[in-house]
Parts: sequence; structure tokens; C-alpha cells
Amino acid sequence: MMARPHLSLGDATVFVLVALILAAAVFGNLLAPEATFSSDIGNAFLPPDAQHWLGTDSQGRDVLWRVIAGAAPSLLSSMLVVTIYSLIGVVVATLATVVPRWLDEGLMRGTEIGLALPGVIVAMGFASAMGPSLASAVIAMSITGWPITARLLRSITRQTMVAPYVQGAQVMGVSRFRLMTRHVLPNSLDVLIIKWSGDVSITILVLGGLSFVGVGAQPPSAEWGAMISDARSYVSTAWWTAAAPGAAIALTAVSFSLLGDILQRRLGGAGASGGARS
Amino acid sequence: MTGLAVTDLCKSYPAAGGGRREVLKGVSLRIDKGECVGLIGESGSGKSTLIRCALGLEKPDSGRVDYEGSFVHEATGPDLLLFRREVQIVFQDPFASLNPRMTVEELVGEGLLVHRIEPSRARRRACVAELLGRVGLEADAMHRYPRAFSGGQRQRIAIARALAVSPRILVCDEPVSALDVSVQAQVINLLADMRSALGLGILFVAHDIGVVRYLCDSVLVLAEGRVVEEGPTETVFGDPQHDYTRALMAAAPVPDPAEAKARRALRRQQREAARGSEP
Repeated sequence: MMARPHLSLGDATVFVLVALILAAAVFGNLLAPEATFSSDIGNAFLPPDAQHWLGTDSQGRDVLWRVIAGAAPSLLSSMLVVTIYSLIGVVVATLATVVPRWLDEGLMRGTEIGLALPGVIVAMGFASAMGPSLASAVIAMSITGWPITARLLRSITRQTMVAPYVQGAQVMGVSRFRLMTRHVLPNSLDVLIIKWSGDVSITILVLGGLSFVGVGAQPPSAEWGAMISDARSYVSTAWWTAAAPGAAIALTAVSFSLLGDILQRRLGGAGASGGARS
Repeated sequence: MTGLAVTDLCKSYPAAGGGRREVLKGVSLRIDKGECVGLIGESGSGKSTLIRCALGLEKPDSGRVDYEGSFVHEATGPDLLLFRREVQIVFQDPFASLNPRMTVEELVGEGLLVHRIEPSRARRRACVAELLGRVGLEADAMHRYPRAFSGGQRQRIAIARALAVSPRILVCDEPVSALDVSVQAQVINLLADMRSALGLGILFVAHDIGVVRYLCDSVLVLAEGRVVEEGPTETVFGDPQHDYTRALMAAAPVPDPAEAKARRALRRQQREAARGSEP
């Protein structure tokens, strides 16, 4: 067995970045001054200076504080989406593992149909039906994201099912429920943590994109995609209004993606099965 | 007195190039309580499939498995529960047969819990401590995870786990072949002790003739899905009829140099004879 790798400088940087972004998401709204959300037209489009580190936007609001306050709608909504569809994926994979073969086949064909349904299109449908909002984008992404997780997990639970300790538990007569919850799932879900982190990275991009095209979060929300959408008319004159939220999206997506890689390296080990991300 | 009886078991799997590969071609065996039956056979002879069918993990194509007069593959309710309690298994690889996410207490106590033998946690803990003592482990081992133990210790935990539900029949699937030679004897002796103390019936699957000879009353030799030889251990090994049994006996190490030399000569002779018979 390989010894646990030391905490390298690179890994530490990623952990610190993720911790900072999470702190911004949780506390950003509480710490941000009132002016983050109210307009002050007299101070619009100030370039970055000592008082406004990242300048001000079209409404005279401080861009840095808006980016910090935007961590909550951008990141927490992505984490919520991935958490919801991961749970759906676990339930579907678990069912597929315990039910008779024909029902398993049926579930997997259903999953394939789900795979063919792009979340972005469904989100646009939801936006036109329920009105564009972050909530409708979150719901649409949550109910379309699970098939890949379900398929990945089912292939892993199937491998776990033939492990001698699972067979031994069957010989001992444990119930199917106990077999899954105590023996199969605890030994199959490592990969989920890794995949969760990578998926958060992708979902931030998608939710930001949806807000950018106007079917996600709406202004005056400080959601990063909405901020970029708001700023795109002024890019040539006030580049910082678009660059700051853009950099925030990129930094967050890269941080969570790297976190996924680090988790895979540390938890997955050489023998771990299944890819971390799709 | 009836134990576990396998009658005329056939099982085939889909083969790689289409068609089906017959793994078991009408195998019968029976184990009564208190009796120790050895099952030997080379890799691919169908041993594992036979065990999986006999334990009800897999459905045979034809033939039947009975336990205490009920048909295992159709048993439900109390009959199935009785079977699941009274027939247990110890696997070959103790590194794969213990759930790594459960403590020793949970592993050994699981049978007591699921069969509602000791529903109270405190009583179960006392029971686990006693079982661990019986297999030669300290009681405080129960708070640790399997990864903290050596192969031999893990196999003792696996045996304690199986014995917790007071089984009548214990299937041992090459229980010592993954262990160091020095530890093998300890585990074998433990099984022998348990057998005489508890009246346990044992189906002992092995490659090692010495162990089978030491432990088993009777022995079956499986080759290509058929029982090619069976009978009391000394009769079978005293006068082996089948080629595989002879080859196995010739391969077993002997502690006498003169005897070993004679064996080597015999093997060389057999090889040459085999070469000569080829066209």
C-alpha cells in the first residue's frame, strides 16, 4: 500500500482557494456594505483604484463586493444542483442494483433517455414556462443531471455486489436494505465525492451561462453570469465590470475541478474504478 | 439426521464464442452435521460454482440443493431464514471477505443482529467478546477495523463472524491458501477444535492434500464438473484412481528426502510417458 501523499504546495493552494470561495459564498452577503446592492449613478464606471479595488459598474456599485456577494447565488446554487442530482443518481443506481434484471434494464433505458435530454434546453423550457429565474434554472439542472451519476454508480455497485464480503452478508441472510446501506453503498460512494467536486465546477459554468443568456438569475442579482450579462454593453469602456465576474467564474470552476483531481488522487488510489468526471 | 445435500447439480454459463460451457455436470454430495468433507479439484473444475449453488447464491440449471428437507432455491420465510442462519461460509481471501467499513464488533455481531439472536447492543457486545476469545483474539479487537489485522487474524475474525449464528454447516472455501504457512496450522486447528466442540459439519475446499488428510473424514475429487473420485479420506488417498488425484499427491511435498527423491523420479517418468504418448 502506498503511503498517504504529503500536502503539497499546489494542493494546499487549491484547498485555501476553495475555502476562501466557500467563505465568500456563506458570509459574503452579510459582510458586503449596503452600497453593493443600491445604485449611486454619480460614481458609475470608476476604474479600479484604492477605494474600489475592482472599480464600479454601471450603477456605481463596487465590483469587488458584488463579486464576493455573487459567490452565494453562483456557487451555492451549483452545489445544490449537483447535490440534488447526485442523490437522485444514488437512488436510481441503488434501485437498479436490487431489483430484478428486467426492471434494471428498464431503469437503465430510462436513464439513457434522460442522458439524451440536455439540461440547458430544459432550463430554457422552464424559463419560458415559469418565468426566467435562478430557481427555475436550478430545478431544470437538478432534474436533468442525474443520469451520468446513476450510470457510473450502478457500474460500481454492480462490482461491489460480487465482492466476497457482500456475498458473505447474503449467505448470512441480511435484508436487501441492510445489504445496500451497510455493505454495498459505503464501499461504492467514494467516487461520488470526487465526481461531485468536478460536477460543481461544470455546473457553475452552465448556470453562469444560463444567467448570461437571460434564463437564470436576473439583475440586480450579483450572480456572476448575470453580472457579465449586465456588463457586456460596456466591455469596451469599462472592461473591469465584465472581467471581474468572469475571472471569479474561471477561478471557482478551476478550483473545484482541481479539488476533484486532488480528492481522486487521495481517496481514489490507483485501484479506484470509474472515471472521476464525465 | 440430515444436513446439506446437493443432488445431481448441473450449471452452465454462456461461453465466449456462443453456446454454453457446462461447469457442473451432475454433481452430488452431502454433508451431515459433525462431519467434515473435503472437496479437492484443480482450478476450473467447478468448485466455486458448486459452492455458490450450494449456498443459494446462484440458481443451478437442474438438480437440487436440500437443507433439512427443504429445497434451498425455493425456500422462503422461516425455511430460508433457517438456512441462512445454519449454513455459513469462510472465504479464501480474508482481505476481501470482511467489509472494510465495519468494525470487528459490527462484523462479528451482524449475524446476531439480523437473526435477532441478541437484539440488545450490550448483550451483543458481550457475545462478540466471547466469540473473539474463542477464536483466540483479544476482546478489545472489536473496536478496530479489519485493516488493523494480519491475514491470520482476519481469518479468525471471519470464522468468529460465521460462528456467531451457531451454524450447523460451515463451508470453507480454501480458508488457508492465502495465509502464511506458519499461520495455516493455527487456523486449521481452530477449525478442528470448533468442529469437535460445536458438532459443526464442514465442507472444506482445498488444494492442499495434507490439510484435507488431517481434517476430513471423507473426500470428493472434482474434475471437469464431475465427481471423479469419492470415499473415506484414507481410501481415496491410499489408492488414488484418477489421474488428477495422483498428480496432486505427487505434487504434495514430503518431509523425507529419500521419499522426495523417489517422487521426483516418478514424476519425471510420468512426464516422459506423457510425452511418449503424444503423436
